[in-house]
Amino acid sequence: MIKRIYRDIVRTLLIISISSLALGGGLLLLNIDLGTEFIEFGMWLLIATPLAPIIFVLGESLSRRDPLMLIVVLIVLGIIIANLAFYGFGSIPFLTLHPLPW
Amino acid sequence: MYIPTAILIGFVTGLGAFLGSLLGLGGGFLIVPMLTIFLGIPIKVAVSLSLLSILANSISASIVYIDRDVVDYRLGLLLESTTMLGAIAGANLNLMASESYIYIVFGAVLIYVAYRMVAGKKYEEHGSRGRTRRNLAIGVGVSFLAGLLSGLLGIGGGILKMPILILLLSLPTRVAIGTSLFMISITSATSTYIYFINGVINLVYAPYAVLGASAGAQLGSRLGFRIEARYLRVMFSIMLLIFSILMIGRGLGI
Repeated sequence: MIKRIYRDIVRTLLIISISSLALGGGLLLLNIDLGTEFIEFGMWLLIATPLAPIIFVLGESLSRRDPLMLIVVLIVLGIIIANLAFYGFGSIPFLTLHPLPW
Repeated sequence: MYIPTAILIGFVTGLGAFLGSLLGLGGGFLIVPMLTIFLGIPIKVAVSLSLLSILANSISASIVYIDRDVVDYRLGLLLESTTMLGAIAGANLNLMASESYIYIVFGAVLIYVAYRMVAGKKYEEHGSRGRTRRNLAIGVGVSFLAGLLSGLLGIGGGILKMPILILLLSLPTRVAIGTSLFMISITSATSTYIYFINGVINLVYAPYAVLGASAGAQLGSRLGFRIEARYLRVMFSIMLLIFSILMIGRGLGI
């Protein structure tokens, strides 16, 4: 059941991101600058989509009380957060809407 | 002036992904040389577009394996911890290095891949190996190299990941493919983010690269079983050798 939900989430995110990219490309073809916004949104969503399986595995490791798996997942999430932090959390669109204290 | 080039990029990435998927390869080995040699796209931009295409394709392909429950998440994430570090290092190396070095390194890797395509045996599962600490340590180490090459050159890294998973860690082939795709999606997302945030990815070209590669990969995977693999491998090997000569020549300024 959960696996099916998670699979559907990944598929939905992929469809939305590719659709957004396609729409953005089409708008740029018509010389409409809004196309750039759609392309950027599609890019962010595509880059974020692989997070879904990681979060799924995090949930699985917590529900199965698998400490080794939990440690591995946390390490991977830590690397992702560190990579984001290196370039500044302000680079992430939705975070810039609510400025962080630092 | 951008739009016709963007459409050509879509065609080239589609062709690269199509040819790559005929042999179960990621398209990166073909997409990057074709973009640089045929369209004159700067190699760093070509690498970023290739990673973007691989990202979309690997997510799409991995859904099938997720659905069939043939992904070893535990092993995949364990190896991915160092693969991601390699990808971050590779992407940053690409941003700092001169284009000449990237051309030469890419050409050298193409020679290795060309050799593997004709001389490499079909993967056989070795029951005597397995998840020993030694093998896991080797796997983790080689995964860093796979990530480094992925981030640096815009390839998926499966050429290194698959032998680790099948030969070293004794995963069944189908599970190895699913796990590899799962890993590639995370690795390519990591590198793509770095290129994106540093403004290397051309936003006009991006949609065409993704759509072209997605269509090409879909078509290639459907037609692949109808074509004799042995002849394909020899043909691709020759093509890769030609690309490697051109890439190294470009790097040396010839």
